[in-house]
Amino acid sequence: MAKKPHEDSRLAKFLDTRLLELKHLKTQAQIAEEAGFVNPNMLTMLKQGSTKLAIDRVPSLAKALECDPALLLRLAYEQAEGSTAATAIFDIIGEPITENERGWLAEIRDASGDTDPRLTSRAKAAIRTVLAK
Amino acid sequence: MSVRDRQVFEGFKLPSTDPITENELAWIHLLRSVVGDADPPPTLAGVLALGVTLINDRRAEVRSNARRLAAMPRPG
Repeated sequence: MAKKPHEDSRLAKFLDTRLLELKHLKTQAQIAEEAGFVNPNMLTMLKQGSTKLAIDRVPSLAKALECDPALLLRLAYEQAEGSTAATAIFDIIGEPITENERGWLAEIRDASGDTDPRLTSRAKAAIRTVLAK
Repeated sequence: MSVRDRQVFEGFKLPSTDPITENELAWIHLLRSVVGDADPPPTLAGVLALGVTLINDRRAEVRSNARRLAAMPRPG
């Protein structure tokens, strides 16, 4: 079977995981309708990587998937343009940061007394240990 | 018209005007490399570990500076 053009994209994998997580709350058809897709099979096509997500669909799909639009926007740009081009775009317009990531930054600022701490190897190891659990 | 009276269109936001530093971006990239696309909120365990690590890093830096000062030749 021919490989689908976007099946290895992070967005396709994220969508697959997120649809599984929401399975007990709403159907794929409901999510597609909430996101404003006329074709209810659109989510399957996105999940399987046979089509890519249009950037203008990011806000409504993020809402339907109950995820942060900044995260979905990052994945959509990466899928549409490739990771190198997406990085170049974000260097110019600014990198989308999720509310949760802002929360972590606020904790780092608070815990460090706003001293802009460097990321040391000790800090890397501690974060990996806590978050990998 | 006050800001409260305006009808907000959900889904789009103006970019934040609050800049982040190079160090903070490095923290964000580390977070992403550990959790993938899961985007977890700060947890109590995470925040505590972060606090302890930052304190230990600060202590190590102070000790290192003290050693460097002690090793400097004294005038006279």
